[in-house]
Amino acid sequence: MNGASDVAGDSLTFDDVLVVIPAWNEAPVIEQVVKSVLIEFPHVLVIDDGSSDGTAELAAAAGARTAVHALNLGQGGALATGLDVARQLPWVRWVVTFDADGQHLAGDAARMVDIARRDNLDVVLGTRFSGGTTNAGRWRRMTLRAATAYTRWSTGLKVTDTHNGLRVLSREFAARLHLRERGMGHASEILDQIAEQSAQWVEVPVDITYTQYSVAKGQPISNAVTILFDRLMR
Amino acid sequence: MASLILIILVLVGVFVLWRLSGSAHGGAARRLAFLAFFGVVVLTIAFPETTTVVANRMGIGRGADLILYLTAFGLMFLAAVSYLRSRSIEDRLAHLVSKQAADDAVARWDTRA
Repeated sequence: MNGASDVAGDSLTFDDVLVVIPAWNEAPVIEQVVKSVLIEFPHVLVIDDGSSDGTAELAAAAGARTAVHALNLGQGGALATGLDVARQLPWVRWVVTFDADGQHLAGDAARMVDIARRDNLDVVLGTRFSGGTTNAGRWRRMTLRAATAYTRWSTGLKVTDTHNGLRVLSREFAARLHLRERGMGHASEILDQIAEQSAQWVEVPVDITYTQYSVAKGQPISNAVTILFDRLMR
Repeated sequence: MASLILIILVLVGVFVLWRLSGSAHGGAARRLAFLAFFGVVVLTIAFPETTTVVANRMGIGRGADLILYLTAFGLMFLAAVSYLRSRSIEDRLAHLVSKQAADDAVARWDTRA
């Protein structure tokens, strides 16, 4: 579990990596995000989750492949579609999940894939809290800490950040991962499955940029209540 | 005593509905249940005092109270059934939307690659 490592970002090519970006009405930023990811990764798939602002067209114009939901399903549903595409493309070895609002850095994703490849891991999770710079507000930080405490207790995984959208999944793990939560509960669901399948995983510190845009677009802190309730109802 | 019986009623009903949801025999059982329900309704209309007799035997004072309780349970069952049904429809719809988007993306991948 040595998250802190010094793998060079460009040690290998990334043509066996599929970067999945779930996006719902992200027109203001999607082009910029796609372009920043394309610098590191040749294959970028934007899942347009029923947007009404032309997100898919903008993503395609920026050089991404697109999968378009006819209806809005939620981020979990969009990731499920991305995993389905990955399963159908035989060349995909690694799946990266990447938020569309510009809060992640492609360089972090590249470093995480290198670590996954080097150590033959099933899952690499980005974390905001073990090291990396964080400029989250106090309430957001406290809510995330509480969610983390709950997840540690319910899954037994010693994670430090439960709801980070930046992850690397091996093809094998992605193929076994069936997301039933269509909303934001998928983050906990992925951790549940890591625990259930005794998957090999590490956390890697990543930088998160809380821009005004990403905070406005991101989950309200109150979503923690919704997620917990939905999980208990399952 | 009365509340105990009522709680058991709820539990049995929920259990039965749970088992029936999605099973092939659901149709037949539901029809039989409806027949029984209508039988009881007809009986209580024909002999209104029977509700009070039954209620007294169950430890409930008035027949009207018994009917009120049964109505409340009926509503709860209805809510549970429609919740399960709408969730199942949502799941199927989501699967359809996701599958269509993924297959379409894969098809375009092959042609453009």
